[in-house]
Amino acid sequence: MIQPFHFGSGTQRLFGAYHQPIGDVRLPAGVVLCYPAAHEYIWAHRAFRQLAEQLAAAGLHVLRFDYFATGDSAGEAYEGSLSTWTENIAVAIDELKEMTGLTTVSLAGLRIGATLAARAAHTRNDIDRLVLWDPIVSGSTYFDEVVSLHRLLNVTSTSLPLASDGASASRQLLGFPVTDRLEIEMKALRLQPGDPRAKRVLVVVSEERPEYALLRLAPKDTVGEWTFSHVPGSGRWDQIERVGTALLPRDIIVATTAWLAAA
Amino acid sequence: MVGGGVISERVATFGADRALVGVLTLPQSSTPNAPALVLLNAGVVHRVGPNRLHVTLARRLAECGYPVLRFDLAGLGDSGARHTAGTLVDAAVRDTREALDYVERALGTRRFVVFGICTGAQHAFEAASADSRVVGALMVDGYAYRTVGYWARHYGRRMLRAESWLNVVKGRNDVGRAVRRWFGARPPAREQPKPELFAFPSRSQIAKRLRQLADRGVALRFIYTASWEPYYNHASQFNAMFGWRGADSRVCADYLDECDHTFTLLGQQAELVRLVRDWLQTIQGRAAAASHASKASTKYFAAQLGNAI
Repeated sequence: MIQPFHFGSGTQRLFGAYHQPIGDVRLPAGVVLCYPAAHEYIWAHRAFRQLAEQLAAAGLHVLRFDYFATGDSAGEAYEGSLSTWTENIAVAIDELKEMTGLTTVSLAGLRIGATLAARAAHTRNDIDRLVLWDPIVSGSTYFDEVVSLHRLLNVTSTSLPLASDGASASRQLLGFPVTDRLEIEMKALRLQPGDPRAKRVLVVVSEERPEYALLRLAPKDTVGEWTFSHVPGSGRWDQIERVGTALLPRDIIVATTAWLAAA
Repeated sequence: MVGGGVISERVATFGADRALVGVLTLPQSSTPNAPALVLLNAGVVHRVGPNRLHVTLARRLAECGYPVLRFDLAGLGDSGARHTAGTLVDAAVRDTREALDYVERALGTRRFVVFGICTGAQHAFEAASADSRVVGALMVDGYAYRTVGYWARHYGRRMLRAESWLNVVKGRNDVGRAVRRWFGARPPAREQPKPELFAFPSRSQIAKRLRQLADRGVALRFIYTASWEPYYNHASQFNAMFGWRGADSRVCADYLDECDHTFTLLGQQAELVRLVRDWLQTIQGRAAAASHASKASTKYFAAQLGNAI
Protein backbone atom coordinates (compact mmCIF):
# COMPACT_ATOMS: atom_id res chain seq x y z
CA MET A 1 0.00 0.00 0.00
CA ILE A 2 1.36 3.40 -0.97
CA GLN A 3 1.04 6.23 1.51
CA PRO A 4 1.33 9.56 -0.29
CA PHE A 5 2.07 12.67 1.77
CA HIS A 6 3.80 16.02 1.79
CA PHE A 7 6.86 16.68 3.91
CA GLY A 8 9.56 19.30 4.29
CA SER A 9 9.19 22.83 5.46
CA GLY A 10 7.81 26.21 4.43
CA THR A 11 7.61 26.89 0.72
CA GLN A 12 9.66 23.80 -0.10
CA ARG A 13 7.00 21.16 0.59
CA LEU A 14 7.95 17.90 -1.12
CA PHE A 15 5.65 15.14 -2.32
CA GLY A 16 6.57 11.71 -1.03
CA ALA A 17 5.22 8.19 -1.45
CA TYR A 18 6.02 5.84 1.41
CA HIS A 19 5.88 2.07 0.91
CA GLN A 20 5.78 0.16 4.15
CA PRO A 21 7.27 -3.35 4.29
CA ILE A 22 4.78 -6.05 3.38
CA GLY A 23 4.89 -9.79 3.85
CA ASP A 24 6.41 -11.85 6.62
CA VAL A 25 9.93 -10.47 6.47
CA ARG A 26 10.57 -7.05 8.05
CA LEU A 27 14.13 -5.86 7.64
CA PRO A 28 15.53 -3.08 9.81
CA ALA A 29 16.39 -1.18 6.64
CA GLY A 30 15.02 1.58 4.47
CA VAL A 31 15.72 3.02 1.04
CA VAL A 32 15.26 6.52 -0.35
CA LEU A 33 14.75 6.47 -4.11
CA CYS A 34 16.15 9.40 -6.09
CA TYR A 35 14.44 10.08 -9.43
CA PRO A 36 16.12 11.32 -12.57
CA ALA A 37 15.09 14.79 -13.75
CA ALA A 38 12.82 16.38 -16.36
CA HIS A 39 11.73 14.07 -19.22
CA GLU A 40 13.60 11.14 -17.68
CA TYR A 41 11.54 11.55 -14.48
CA ILE A 42 8.32 11.10 -16.47
CA TRP A 43 9.83 8.09 -18.20
CA ALA A 44 11.07 6.46 -14.99
CA HIS A 45 8.09 7.01 -12.67
CA ARG A 46 6.54 3.62 -13.42
CA ALA A 47 9.84 1.80 -12.93
CA PHE A 48 10.38 3.54 -9.58
CA ARG A 49 6.98 2.46 -8.35
CA GLN A 50 7.79 -1.11 -9.36
CA LEU A 51 11.19 -0.94 -7.67
CA ALA A 52 9.60 0.48 -4.50
CA GLU A 53 6.97 -2.27 -4.44
CA GLN A 54 9.61 -4.97 -4.94
CA LEU A 55 11.70 -3.54 -2.11
CA ALA A 56 8.67 -3.30 0.20
CA ALA A 57 7.80 -6.90 -0.65
CA ALA A 58 11.35 -7.84 0.36
CA GLY A 59 10.73 -6.25 3.76
CA LEU A 60 12.24 -2.77 3.38
CA HIS A 61 10.81 0.66 4.13
CA VAL A 62 10.87 2.79 0.97
CA LEU A 63 10.43 6.49 0.34
CA ARG A 64 10.37 7.90 -3.16
CA PHE A 65 9.86 11.62 -3.48
CA ASP A 66 9.76 14.48 -5.97
CA TYR A 67 12.49 17.10 -5.81
CA PHE A 68 11.47 20.72 -5.28
CA ALA A 69 9.97 22.21 -8.47
CA THR A 70 9.42 18.75 -9.98
CA GLY A 71 6.49 16.34 -10.01
CA ASP A 72 3.90 17.07 -7.31
CA SER A 73 6.28 19.00 -5.06
CA ALA A 74 5.98 22.73 -4.55
CA GLY A 75 7.80 25.12 -6.84
CA GLU A 76 7.65 26.17 -10.45
CA ALA A 77 9.73 24.20 -12.93
CA TYR A 78 12.19 27.07 -13.45
CA GLU A 79 12.98 27.14 -9.71
CA GLY A 80 14.77 23.78 -9.71
CA SER A 81 18.52 23.49 -9.17
CA LEU A 82 20.95 20.66 -8.50
CA SER A 83 22.03 22.13 -5.17
CA THR A 84 18.40 22.32 -3.99
CA TRP A 85 17.72 18.77 -5.15
CA THR A 86 20.79 17.50 -3.26
CA GLU A 87 19.47 19.23 -0.12
CA ASN A 88 16.07 17.62 -0.79
CA ILE A 89 17.69 14.16 -0.70
CA ALA A 90 19.05 14.98 2.75
CA VAL A 91 15.58 16.08 3.89
CA ALA A 92 14.09 12.83 2.53
CA ILE A 93 16.72 10.73 4.33
CA ASP A 94 15.88 12.46 7.62
CA GLU A 95 12.15 12.03 6.95
CA LEU A 96 12.47 8.28 6.40
CA LYS A 97 14.65 7.90 9.50
CA GLU A 98 12.11 9.83 11.56
CA MET A 99 9.17 7.83 10.19
CA THR A 100 10.77 4.46 10.83
CA GLY A 101 13.19 4.98 13.69
CA LEU A 102 16.03 3.66 11.56
CA THR A 103 19.49 5.04 12.24
CA THR A 104 20.87 4.40 8.77
CA VAL A 105 19.21 4.21 5.36
CA SER A 106 20.23 3.35 1.81
CA LEU A 107 19.94 5.41 -1.34
CA ALA A 108 19.13 4.30 -4.88
CA GLY A 109 19.28 6.83 -7.70
CA LEU A 110 18.81 6.73 -11.44
CA ARG A 111 20.71 8.94 -13.92
CA ILE A 112 21.10 12.39 -12.37
CA GLY A 113 19.36 11.04 -9.26
CA ALA A 114 22.29 8.63 -8.87
CA THR A 115 24.86 11.38 -9.17
CA LEU A 116 23.01 13.57 -6.68
CA ALA A 117 22.58 10.62 -4.31
CA ALA A 118 26.35 10.05 -4.40
CA ARG A 119 26.86 13.72 -3.68
CA ALA A 120 24.36 13.64 -0.78
CA ALA A 121 25.98 10.50 0.63
CA HIS A 122 29.42 12.11 0.53
CA THR A 123 28.66 14.41 3.45
CA ARG A 124 26.86 11.89 5.68
CA ASN A 125 27.76 8.91 7.80
CA ASP A 126 24.30 7.34 8.00
CA ILE A 127 24.19 5.82 4.51
CA ASP A 128 24.28 2.05 4.51
CA ARG A 129 24.11 1.14 0.83
CA LEU A 130 24.13 3.19 -2.33
CA VAL A 131 22.86 2.17 -5.77
CA LEU A 132 24.05 4.17 -8.77
CA TRP A 133 21.82 3.12 -11.69
CA ASP A 134 22.98 4.39 -15.08
CA PRO A 135 24.60 7.38 -13.34
CA ILE A 136 25.43 10.64 -15.09
CA VAL A 137 29.23 10.74 -14.94
CA SER A 138 29.66 13.98 -16.89
CA GLY A 139 26.94 16.60 -16.59
CA SER A 140 28.32 18.41 -19.61
CA THR A 141 27.99 15.32 -21.84
CA TYR A 142 24.50 14.73 -20.47
CA PHE A 143 23.47 18.29 -21.22
CA ASP A 144 24.69 18.00 -24.81
CA GLU A 145 22.72 14.74 -25.21
CA VAL A 146 19.53 16.38 -24.01
CA VAL A 147 20.04 19.33 -26.37
CA SER A 148 20.48 16.86 -29.27
CA LEU A 149 17.33 14.99 -28.26
CA HIS A 150 15.37 18.22 -28.07
CA ARG A 151 16.43 19.23 -31.56
CA LEU A 152 15.51 15.79 -32.89
CA LEU A 153 12.10 15.92 -31.24
CA ASN A 154 11.34 19.33 -32.63
CA VAL A 155 12.22 18.26 -36.13
CA THR A 156 10.12 15.12 -35.93
CA SER A 157 7.10 16.64 -34.23
CA THR A 158 6.41 20.29 -34.90
CA SER A 159 9.50 21.84 -36.49
CA LEU A 160 9.33 24.64 -33.98
CA PRO A 161 12.63 26.26 -33.06
CA LEU A 162 14.32 26.09 -29.70
CA ALA A 163 12.40 28.94 -28.11
CA SER A 164 12.99 31.22 -25.18
CA ASP A 165 10.61 31.60 -22.24
CA GLY A 166 11.40 35.19 -21.44
CA ALA A 167 12.70 35.99 -18.00
CA SER A 168 11.92 32.73 -16.28
CA ALA A 169 14.38 30.53 -18.16
CA SER A 170 17.26 31.00 -20.53
CA ARG A 171 16.15 28.07 -22.64
CA GLN A 172 13.94 25.04 -22.67
CA LEU A 173 14.72 21.42 -23.26
CA LEU A 174 12.21 18.64 -23.88
CA GLY A 175 9.32 20.39 -22.20
CA PHE A 176 11.14 21.88 -19.23
CA PRO A 177 12.74 25.28 -18.63
CA VAL A 178 16.49 25.45 -18.09
CA THR A 179 17.74 28.44 -16.16
CA ASP A 180 21.28 29.76 -16.35
CA ARG A 181 21.86 28.45 -12.84
CA LEU A 182 20.70 24.94 -13.69
CA GLU A 183 22.73 24.88 -16.90
CA ILE A 184 25.88 26.00 -15.09
CA GLU A 185 25.36 23.45 -12.32
CA MET A 186 24.60 20.72 -14.83
CA LYS A 187 27.69 21.35 -16.93
CA ALA A 188 29.89 21.41 -13.83
CA LEU A 189 28.47 18.14 -12.50
CA ARG A 190 30.87 15.20 -12.39
CA LEU A 191 30.58 11.90 -10.61
CA GLN A 192 33.99 11.35 -9.05
CA PRO A 193 34.88 7.81 -8.04
CA GLY A 194 35.57 9.06 -4.52
CA ASP A 195 32.15 10.72 -4.16
CA PRO A 196 30.10 7.83 -2.87
CA ARG A 197 30.56 7.33 0.86
CA ALA A 198 28.54 4.31 1.86
CA LYS A 199 29.27 0.96 3.44
CA ARG A 200 28.42 -0.74 0.15
CA VAL A 201 28.09 0.68 -3.35
CA LEU A 202 26.44 -0.94 -6.38
CA VAL A 203 26.97 0.60 -9.80
CA VAL A 204 24.40 -1.01 -12.08
CA VAL A 205 24.38 -0.07 -15.76
CA SER A 206 22.01 -1.11 -18.52
CA GLU A 207 24.53 -0.52 -21.27
CA GLU A 208 28.29 -0.20 -21.40
CA ARG A 209 29.57 3.34 -21.90
CA PRO A 210 33.17 4.59 -22.02
CA GLU A 211 32.62 6.88 -19.02
CA TYR A 212 31.69 3.91 -16.85
CA ALA A 213 35.27 2.62 -17.10
CA LEU A 214 36.36 4.57 -14.03
CA LEU A 215 33.44 3.12 -12.05
CA ARG A 216 34.31 -0.51 -12.78
CA LEU A 217 36.78 -0.83 -9.94
CA ALA A 218 36.54 0.47 -6.42
CA PRO A 219 38.34 3.79 -5.99
CA LYS A 220 41.49 3.74 -3.85
CA ASP A 221 39.99 5.65 -0.95
CA THR A 222 36.67 3.81 -0.95
CA VAL A 223 35.35 3.09 2.51
CA GLY A 224 33.31 -0.02 1.79
CA GLU A 225 32.43 -2.75 -0.70
CA TRP A 226 32.17 -1.76 -4.36
CA THR A 227 30.25 -3.75 -7.00
CA PHE A 228 29.91 -2.98 -10.70
CA SER A 229 27.21 -4.85 -12.59
CA HIS A 230 26.10 -4.72 -16.23
CA VAL A 231 22.47 -5.80 -16.53
CA PRO A 232 21.38 -5.34 -20.17
CA GLY A 233 18.10 -3.43 -20.38
CA SER A 234 16.36 -0.26 -21.50
CA GLY A 235 19.43 1.91 -21.29
CA ARG A 236 19.31 3.91 -24.49
CA TRP A 237 18.57 7.22 -22.83
CA ASP A 238 19.59 9.11 -25.95
CA GLN A 239 16.93 7.57 -28.19
CA ILE A 240 14.10 9.80 -29.30
CA GLU A 241 11.63 6.91 -29.27
CA ARG A 242 12.01 6.71 -25.51
CA VAL A 243 10.63 10.19 -24.86
CA GLY A 244 7.04 9.96 -23.68
CA THR A 245 7.11 6.24 -23.05
CA ALA A 246 7.48 4.24 -19.84
CA LEU A 247 10.69 2.56 -18.74
CA LEU A 248 10.21 -1.08 -17.72
CA PRO A 249 13.63 -2.48 -16.83
CA ARG A 250 12.55 -5.67 -15.08
CA ASP A 251 15.99 -7.25 -14.78
CA ILE A 252 17.59 -4.21 -13.20
CA ILE A 253 14.73 -3.89 -10.73
CA VAL A 254 15.14 -7.54 -9.73
CA ALA A 255 18.93 -7.23 -9.41
CA THR A 256 18.76 -3.99 -7.44
CA THR A 257 16.11 -5.36 -5.07
CA ALA A 258 18.16 -8.50 -4.44
CA TRP A 259 21.29 -6.45 -3.70
CA LEU A 260 19.54 -4.04 -1.34
CA ALA A 261 17.69 -6.79 0.52
CA ALA A 262 20.67 -9.13 0.84
CA ALA A 263 22.11 -9.63 4.32
CA MET B 1 1.32 28.22 -1.01
CA VAL B 2 2.92 26.22 -3.78
CA GLY B 3 3.60 28.61 -6.59
CA GLY B 4 3.50 32.30 -7.35
CA GLY B 5 -0.11 32.79 -6.24
CA VAL B 6 -1.80 32.01 -2.94
CA ILE B 7 -3.02 28.48 -3.52
CA SER B 8 -2.63 25.29 -1.55
CA GLU B 9 -2.33 21.62 -2.38
CA ARG B 10 -3.26 18.54 -0.46
CA VAL B 11 -2.86 14.86 -1.13
CA ALA B 12 -6.13 13.09 -1.92
CA THR B 13 -6.76 9.37 -1.46
CA PHE B 14 -10.23 8.11 -2.29
CA GLY B 15 -12.29 5.34 -3.84
CA ALA B 16 -12.60 1.79 -2.56
CA ASP B 17 -9.74 1.05 -0.12
CA ARG B 18 -8.62 4.64 -0.78
CA ALA B 19 -6.62 3.15 -3.62
CA LEU B 20 -6.87 6.16 -5.92
CA VAL B 21 -4.23 8.85 -5.39
CA GLY B 22 -4.38 12.47 -6.44
CA VAL B 23 -3.50 16.01 -5.52
CA LEU B 24 -6.20 18.64 -4.94
CA THR B 25 -5.15 22.20 -5.73
CA LEU B 26 -7.28 24.80 -4.01
CA PRO B 27 -7.66 28.50 -4.62
CA GLN B 28 -7.49 30.87 -1.66
CA SER B 29 -11.17 31.57 -2.15
CA SER B 30 -13.44 29.92 -4.65
CA THR B 31 -15.23 31.98 -7.26
CA PRO B 32 -19.05 31.78 -7.36
CA ASN B 33 -20.31 29.25 -9.93
CA ALA B 34 -16.74 28.04 -10.51
CA PRO B 35 -16.80 24.39 -11.53
CA ALA B 36 -14.12 22.06 -10.19
CA LEU B 37 -11.71 20.72 -12.77
CA VAL B 38 -10.61 17.08 -12.85
CA LEU B 39 -7.51 16.20 -14.87
CA LEU B 40 -7.30 12.66 -16.25
CA ASN B 41 -4.17 10.66 -17.10
CA ALA B 42 -2.69 11.24 -20.54
CA GLY B 43 -1.97 7.69 -21.66
CA VAL B 44 0.28 6.00 -19.10
CA VAL B 45 1.84 9.24 -17.87
CA HIS B 46 1.09 9.68 -14.18
CA ARG B 47 -1.00 12.54 -12.88
CA VAL B 48 1.65 15.28 -13.18
CA GLY B 49 1.02 15.07 -16.92
CA PRO B 50 3.38 15.17 -19.86
CA ASN B 51 6.05 17.80 -19.25
CA ARG B 52 4.41 18.41 -15.83
CA LEU B 53 1.60 20.08 -17.74
CA HIS B 54 -1.17 19.00 -15.34
CA VAL B 55 0.66 20.57 -12.40
CA THR B 56 1.05 23.81 -14.33
CA LEU B 57 -2.61 23.74 -15.38
CA ALA B 58 -3.83 22.97 -11.86
CA ARG B 59 -1.84 25.77 -10.26
CA ARG B 60 -2.60 28.44 -12.88
CA LEU B 61 -6.32 27.64 -12.82
CA ALA B 62 -6.45 27.53 -9.02
CA GLU B 63 -4.93 31.01 -9.07
CA CYS B 64 -8.03 32.01 -11.08
CA GLY B 65 -10.38 30.55 -8.47
CA TYR B 66 -10.94 26.99 -9.75
CA PRO B 67 -10.37 23.93 -7.54
CA VAL B 68 -8.47 21.28 -9.52
CA LEU B 69 -7.94 17.58 -8.85
CA ARG B 70 -5.30 15.64 -10.75
CA PHE B 71 -5.35 11.94 -10.01
CA ASP B 72 -4.23 8.55 -11.26
CA LEU B 73 -6.66 6.01 -12.62
CA ALA B 74 -6.42 2.59 -10.95
CA GLY B 75 -3.14 0.91 -11.85
CA LEU B 76 -1.49 4.08 -13.14
CA GLY B 77 0.92 6.39 -11.30
CA ASP B 78 0.52 5.89 -7.56
CA SER B 79 -3.00 4.43 -7.61
CA GLY B 80 -3.55 0.80 -6.71
CA ALA B 81 -4.57 -1.69 -9.38
CA ARG B 82 -8.08 -3.14 -9.39
CA HIS B 83 -9.25 -6.36 -10.93
CA THR B 84 -12.81 -5.81 -12.05
CA ALA B 85 -14.94 -6.77 -15.00
CA GLY B 86 -15.44 -4.45 -17.95
CA THR B 87 -13.23 -2.56 -20.35
CA LEU B 88 -10.45 -0.11 -19.51
CA VAL B 89 -12.80 2.70 -20.52
CA ASP B 90 -15.47 1.40 -18.10
CA ALA B 91 -12.84 1.34 -15.35
CA ALA B 92 -11.72 4.88 -16.19
CA VAL B 93 -15.31 6.14 -16.02
CA ARG B 94 -15.81 4.43 -12.65
CA ASP B 95 -12.59 5.94 -11.27
CA THR B 96 -13.50 9.38 -12.58
CA ARG B 97 -16.91 9.13 -10.93
CA GLU B 98 -15.15 8.34 -7.63
CA ALA B 99 -12.92 11.38 -8.14
CA LEU B 100 -16.02 13.56 -8.61
CA ASP B 101 -17.56 12.02 -5.48
CA TYR B 102 -14.42 12.86 -3.52
CA VAL B 103 -14.36 16.50 -4.63
CA GLU B 104 -18.09 16.84 -4.03
CA ARG B 105 -17.67 15.56 -0.48
CA ALA B 106 -14.62 17.74 0.14
CA LEU B 107 -15.86 20.99 -1.39
CA GLY B 108 -19.59 20.63 -1.84
CA THR B 109 -19.47 21.39 -5.55
CA ARG B 110 -21.66 19.47 -7.97
CA ARG B 111 -20.39 21.07 -11.19
CA PHE B 112 -17.36 19.57 -12.85
CA VAL B 113 -15.24 19.99 -15.93
CA VAL B 114 -13.11 17.06 -17.03
CA PHE B 115 -9.90 17.45 -19.02
CA GLY B 116 -7.79 14.88 -20.80
CA ILE B 117 -5.14 14.40 -23.45
CA CYS B 118 -5.07 11.32 -25.71
CA THR B 119 -6.76 8.45 -23.82
CA GLY B 120 -7.59 11.09 -21.22
CA ALA B 121 -9.70 12.84 -23.86
CA GLN B 122 -11.56 9.61 -24.59
CA HIS B 123 -12.16 9.09 -20.87
CA ALA B 124 -13.29 12.70 -20.45
CA PHE B 125 -15.92 12.24 -23.18
CA GLU B 126 -17.13 8.99 -21.65
CA ALA B 127 -17.23 10.45 -18.13
CA ALA B 128 -19.22 13.43 -19.39
CA SER B 129 -21.71 11.03 -20.99
CA ALA B 130 -22.00 8.92 -17.84
CA ASP B 131 -22.20 11.52 -15.09
CA SER B 132 -24.68 14.38 -15.04
CA ARG B 133 -22.46 16.42 -12.72
CA VAL B 134 -20.08 17.04 -15.63
CA VAL B 135 -20.92 20.42 -17.17
CA GLY B 136 -17.92 20.60 -19.46
CA ALA B 137 -15.25 18.45 -21.08
CA LEU B 138 -12.08 19.62 -22.74
CA MET B 139 -10.47 16.94 -24.86
CA VAL B 140 -7.07 17.13 -26.52
CA ASP B 141 -6.42 14.68 -29.35
CA GLY B 142 -9.44 12.53 -28.62
CA TYR B 143 -12.04 11.00 -30.91
CA ALA B 144 -11.37 11.81 -34.56
CA TYR B 145 -12.44 10.24 -37.83
CA ARG B 146 -10.90 10.56 -41.25
CA THR B 147 -13.12 12.24 -43.82
CA VAL B 148 -12.91 12.65 -47.60
CA GLY B 149 -11.37 16.05 -46.97
CA TYR B 150 -8.83 14.47 -44.62
CA TRP B 151 -7.63 12.05 -47.30
CA ALA B 152 -7.55 14.79 -49.95
CA ARG B 153 -5.33 16.94 -47.73
CA HIS B 154 -3.25 13.97 -46.57
CA TYR B 155 -2.37 12.85 -50.10
CA GLY B 156 -2.32 16.41 -51.47
CA ARG B 157 0.45 17.32 -49.04
CA ARG B 158 2.34 14.15 -49.91
CA MET B 159 2.28 15.07 -53.58
CA LEU B 160 4.25 18.17 -52.73
CA ARG B 161 7.04 16.12 -51.18
CA ALA B 162 9.98 14.96 -53.30
CA GLU B 163 10.22 11.81 -51.16
CA SER B 164 6.73 10.73 -52.28
CA TRP B 165 7.70 10.95 -55.96
CA LEU B 166 10.89 9.01 -55.23
CA ASN B 167 8.72 6.29 -53.69
CA VAL B 168 6.61 6.25 -56.89
CA VAL B 169 9.74 5.72 -58.97
CA LYS B 170 10.98 2.96 -56.65
CA GLY B 171 7.54 1.35 -56.38
CA ARG B 172 7.42 1.76 -52.62
CA ASN B 173 3.94 3.27 -52.38
CA ASP B 174 0.54 2.31 -53.84
CA VAL B 175 0.90 4.55 -56.89
CA GLY B 176 4.42 3.30 -57.58
CA ARG B 177 3.30 -0.33 -57.30
CA ALA B 178 0.38 0.32 -59.68
CA VAL B 179 2.71 1.91 -62.23
CA ARG B 180 5.08 -1.06 -62.04
CA ARG B 181 2.23 -3.51 -62.53
CA TRP B 182 1.00 -1.44 -65.51
CA PHE B 183 4.36 -1.93 -67.17
CA GLY B 184 4.38 -5.63 -66.31
CA ALA B 185 7.07 -5.35 -63.66
CA ARG B 186 6.78 -6.98 -60.28
CA PRO B 187 6.47 -4.36 -57.53
CA PRO B 188 8.39 -4.69 -54.26
CA ALA B 189 6.56 -6.43 -51.44
CA ARG B 190 4.06 -4.22 -49.69
CA GLU B 191 5.03 -3.16 -46.18
CA GLN B 192 2.79 -4.32 -43.38
CA PRO B 193 0.24 -1.57 -42.69
CA LYS B 194 0.74 0.11 -39.34
CA PRO B 195 -1.87 -0.95 -36.79
CA GLU B 196 -4.38 1.65 -35.70
CA LEU B 197 -3.29 3.42 -32.53
CA PHE B 198 -6.78 3.43 -31.04
CA ALA B 199 -10.02 1.55 -31.50
CA PHE B 200 -12.57 4.35 -31.43
CA PRO B 201 -16.32 3.73 -31.33
CA SER B 202 -18.03 4.32 -34.67
CA ARG B 203 -18.31 7.86 -35.90
CA SER B 204 -22.13 7.73 -35.87
CA GLN B 205 -22.13 6.59 -32.24
CA ILE B 206 -19.94 9.48 -31.16
CA ALA B 207 -21.91 11.98 -33.28
CA LYS B 208 -25.13 10.82 -31.62
CA ARG B 209 -23.70 11.07 -28.12
CA LEU B 210 -22.18 14.43 -28.93
CA ARG B 211 -25.67 15.67 -29.75
CA GLN B 212 -27.04 14.19 -26.52
CA LEU B 213 -24.34 15.92 -24.48
CA ALA B 214 -25.02 19.23 -26.21
CA ASP B 215 -28.74 18.83 -25.57
CA ARG B 216 -27.92 18.24 -21.89
CA GLY B 217 -26.13 21.59 -21.91
CA VAL B 218 -22.62 20.18 -21.50
CA ALA B 219 -19.91 22.47 -22.88
CA LEU B 220 -17.54 20.50 -25.09
CA ARG B 221 -14.22 21.68 -26.43
CA PHE B 222 -12.20 19.50 -28.74
CA ILE B 223 -8.58 20.41 -29.36
CA TYR B 224 -6.52 18.69 -32.02
CA THR B 225 -2.77 19.11 -32.40
CA ALA B 226 -0.39 18.56 -35.30
CA SER B 227 0.60 15.21 -33.78
CA TRP B 228 -2.94 13.89 -34.40
CA GLU B 229 -2.30 13.98 -38.15
CA PRO B 230 -2.98 10.25 -38.50
CA TYR B 231 -6.63 11.18 -37.71
CA TYR B 232 -7.10 14.91 -38.05
CA ASN B 233 -5.47 17.49 -40.29
CA HIS B 234 -7.61 20.59 -40.71
CA ALA B 235 -9.68 23.00 -38.65
CA SER B 236 -12.79 22.25 -40.73
CA GLN B 237 -12.63 18.50 -40.13
CA PHE B 238 -14.60 18.54 -36.88
CA ASN B 239 -17.77 19.83 -38.55
CA ALA B 240 -17.30 17.40 -41.42
CA MET B 241 -16.81 14.30 -39.29
CA PHE B 242 -19.72 14.93 -36.92
CA GLY B 243 -22.07 16.78 -39.27
CA TRP B 244 -21.82 19.65 -36.83
CA ARG B 245 -22.94 23.01 -38.14
CA GLY B 246 -21.53 25.08 -35.32
CA ALA B 247 -24.95 26.44 -34.39
CA ASP B 248 -24.44 25.59 -30.73
CA SER B 249 -21.64 27.62 -29.15
CA ARG B 250 -21.35 25.08 -26.35
CA VAL B 251 -19.54 22.75 -28.74
CA CYS B 252 -16.37 23.95 -30.42
CA ALA B 253 -13.13 22.61 -31.81
CA ASP B 254 -9.65 24.03 -32.29
CA TYR B 255 -6.88 22.84 -34.53
CA LEU B 256 -3.52 23.80 -33.02
CA ASP B 257 -1.31 22.97 -35.96
CA GLU B 258 1.84 24.32 -34.28
CA CYS B 259 1.44 22.27 -31.11
CA ASP B 260 2.48 18.67 -30.54
CA HIS B 261 0.60 16.01 -28.62
CA THR B 262 2.27 16.74 -25.25
CA PHE B 263 2.74 20.51 -25.64
CA THR B 264 6.49 20.17 -25.48
CA LEU B 265 7.42 23.81 -25.91
CA LEU B 266 6.77 26.14 -22.99
CA GLY B 267 4.98 28.62 -25.25
CA GLN B 268 2.54 25.86 -26.26
CA GLN B 269 1.93 25.03 -22.60
CA ALA B 270 1.20 28.68 -21.82
CA GLU B 271 -1.16 28.83 -24.80
CA LEU B 272 -3.07 25.78 -23.55
CA VAL B 273 -3.37 27.23 -20.05
CA ARG B 274 -4.75 30.47 -21.51
CA LEU B 275 -7.20 28.58 -23.72
CA VAL B 276 -8.52 26.44 -20.86
CA ARG B 277 -8.77 29.42 -18.50
CA ASP B 278 -10.71 31.55 -21.02
CA TRP B 279 -13.03 28.65 -21.84
CA LEU B 280 -13.74 28.00 -18.15
CA GLN B 281 -14.62 31.64 -17.69
CA THR B 282 -17.07 31.34 -20.58
CA ILE B 283 -18.72 28.32 -18.96
CA GLN B 284 -18.83 30.11 -15.64
CA GLY B 285 -20.36 33.16 -17.28
CA ARG B 286 -23.09 31.02 -18.82
CA ALA B 287 -23.77 29.39 -15.46
CA ALA B 288 -23.98 32.80 -13.78
CA ALA B 289 -26.41 34.02 -16.45
CA ALA B 290 -28.48 30.86 -16.08
CA SER B 291 -28.46 31.23 -12.30
CA HIS B 292 -29.55 34.87 -12.64
CA ALA B 293 -32.32 33.89 -15.06
CA SER B 294 -33.37 31.11 -12.71
CA LYS B 295 -33.54 33.50 -9.75
CA ALA B 296 -35.50 35.98 -11.89
CA SER B 297 -37.92 33.20 -12.81
CA THR B 298 -38.28 32.22 -9.16
CA LYS B 299 -39.09 35.83 -8.24
CA TYR B 300 -41.57 36.01 -11.14
CA PHE B 301 -43.32 32.82 -10.05
CA ALA B 302 -43.27 33.93 -6.41
CA ALA B 303 -44.89 37.21 -7.48
CA GLN B 304 -47.48 35.33 -9.51
CA LEU B 305 -48.22 33.07 -6.56
CA GLY B 306 -48.43 36.12 -4.29
CA ASN B 307 -50.97 37.71 -6.59
CA ALA B 308 -52.94 34.52 -6.72
CA ILE B 309 -53.01 34.27 -2.95
